[in-house]
Amino acid sequence: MSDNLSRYGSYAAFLVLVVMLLLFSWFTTEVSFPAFEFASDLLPRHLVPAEPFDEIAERVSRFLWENRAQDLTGQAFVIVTAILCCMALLKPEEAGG
Amino acid sequence: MEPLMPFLVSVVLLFIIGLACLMVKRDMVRLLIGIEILFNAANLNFVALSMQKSGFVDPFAHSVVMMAIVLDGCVIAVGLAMAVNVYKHYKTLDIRKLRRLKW
Amino acid sequence: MVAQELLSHTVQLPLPLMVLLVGSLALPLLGLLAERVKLGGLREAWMFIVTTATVGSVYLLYQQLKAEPDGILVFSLWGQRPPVGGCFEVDALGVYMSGTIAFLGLLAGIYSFKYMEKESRLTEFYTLVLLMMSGMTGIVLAGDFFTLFIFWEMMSLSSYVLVAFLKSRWGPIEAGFKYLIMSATAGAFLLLGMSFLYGMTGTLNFAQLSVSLHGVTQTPWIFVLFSCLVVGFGVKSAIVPLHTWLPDAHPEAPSPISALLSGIVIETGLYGLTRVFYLLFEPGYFQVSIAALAVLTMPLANIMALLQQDIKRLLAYSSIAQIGYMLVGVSTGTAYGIMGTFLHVFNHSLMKGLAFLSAGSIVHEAETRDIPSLRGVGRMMPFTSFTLFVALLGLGGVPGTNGFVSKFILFNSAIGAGMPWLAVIGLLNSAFSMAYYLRVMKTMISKPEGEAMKVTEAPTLMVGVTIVMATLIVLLGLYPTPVLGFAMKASKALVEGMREYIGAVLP
Repeated sequence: MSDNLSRYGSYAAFLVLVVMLLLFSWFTTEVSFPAFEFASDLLPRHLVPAEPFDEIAERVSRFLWENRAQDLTGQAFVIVTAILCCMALLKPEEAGG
Repeated sequence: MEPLMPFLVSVVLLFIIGLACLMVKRDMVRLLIGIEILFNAANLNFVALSMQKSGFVDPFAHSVVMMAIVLDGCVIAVGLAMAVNVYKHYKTLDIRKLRRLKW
Repeated sequence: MVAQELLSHTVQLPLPLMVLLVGSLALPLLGLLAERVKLGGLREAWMFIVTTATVGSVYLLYQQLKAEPDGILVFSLWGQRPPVGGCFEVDALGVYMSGTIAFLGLLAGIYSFKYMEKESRLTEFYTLVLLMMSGMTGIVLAGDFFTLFIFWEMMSLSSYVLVAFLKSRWGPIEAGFKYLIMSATAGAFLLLGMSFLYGMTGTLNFAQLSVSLHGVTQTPWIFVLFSCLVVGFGVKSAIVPLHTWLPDAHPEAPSPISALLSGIVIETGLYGLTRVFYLLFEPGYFQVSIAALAVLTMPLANIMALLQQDIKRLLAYSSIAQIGYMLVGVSTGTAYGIMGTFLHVFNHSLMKGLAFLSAGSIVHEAETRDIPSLRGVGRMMPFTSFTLFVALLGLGGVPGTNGFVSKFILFNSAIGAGMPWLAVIGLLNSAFSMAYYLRVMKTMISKPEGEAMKVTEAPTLMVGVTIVMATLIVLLGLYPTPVLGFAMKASKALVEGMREYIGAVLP
């Protein structure tokens, strides 16, 4: 019985997904996305010109370090967390805790 | 102004492909790849929306994407470490065999 | 002198967060030292120092907050302007939640000294608990959506591994893997919701988003954004169609971690949901949907709890039902309802934390989680089962415990907000939940037979922590005024203090 369920289950899931795909594609093409419509005028503009293509990366990284240093420090702590997580999961369980 | 609609449709497509991968596939590593696809769809959305002013790029979205890529990598790393442990216990990477906890 | 001024000008982080992060960085080094030099108890001592210092620093943060004229503190690094740079925005609600986190972390930490003493990899355990607490503190104090996301991932990563910590058995590993898949998917939904928000407004700062999105015309894309955010926050706070990881994850985790998970991690998910919705949308927009989710959550969780034979799984389903009660308060849209929700957050952290800790003592002694085999354990372990009784009575909302006060406020506010049927459903569910709590209590007090004859009272440290928590539950039930006043200030800061919140960041 669960064999049937798993076989028909994946076909049913496929069907649901195709329907969702068609629905959302229709939705995206019909209803226009309000891009930046609600942006307030108080927003400081730090735009980077797209023309000299090679310099975008350098200017974005300068923006990142000047304005988002706090989030970068947080991200460093997340990397430390991930390292500790992997150590906790992969260390052999002897008495050397 | 760059046309926004093709990008949004491709983001929706990627997102649904990611959800399909999560629902249909039975190998654990493929589930983790599905999660990766979901995160990448959201990152693509950020980048596509940052180009909405003609000739200019908003660096805020790009910095968010750079940080989100690292965070997503951490999640996948921990997921793979957990998959190693599952293999040690169940001797298989088939998620349909993980049914011992019921009710 | 110059260094001190430089330090206070540059490193501007909220004090609890700094204490927890520095503590969690120092702990691996101390753990390494403890292993080499064979100094027992060094890690536990440092953990105790850090958690006590966190509770103290929350108090200091509160003093700092009171000294501000507006009642909002904004922290940002190196003088980076908030709407573009990341910031921490502390108001009364943030201090209230970080106080809850610090307090339960302290109690569960002390309990885990004795519970986990025979396990391996203890350094990683304590460090991950501290990192989980710092992730939660970062979430409740965040002023920017992306800062919230970073600390959200920090909390989630440590909680996946803490659930799967006892990796020599298959149960925790399976539960941890399912939890990881569902919660990482929710993180992707949250990121997608953030990208839609960015696309509509050009910013991710809470204050700026609130200004931009209040009173705009409702396009269907706002509904897509709303659903993405509900899924993103809802998996973590265990709202019903998205709760299926919880009944597996909470029983299989070690007991102090179960207490932390049920006690504050899911409530932090609920905090994220509440904060974001109250800032971005009008209350009338989400009232009906959240009320519908609450009505779906409460009965399903209570019915499933009635069918359980495993004590920790029963408590896990009970957590889902309690989240349903808190959603009733969120859906009212008034400051009174939010006060009920957050008062219930604090009370539930104490009560469910106590329930898991005393159930953990029982499981530690009796080596089984099955309720029928625990028949009569209550007579062999009088103190522990007494505290379990107090916790279960509080969860059911019996007058005299603090659970009664918060449930009363919640259902009262639902009537006041024009949804009396919600209050009726909530009351019926609350009365229904006493059925399975009484079943557990009856099994505990029966005549001991077989298995239960061999258990003795749990170690003193574990019993001591549970007795302290039980005393607090009864005390706050008879005299709830201090916590009530603080919850009132916190809820007013969320619902009515919007102008001050926005004014602190934008000129």
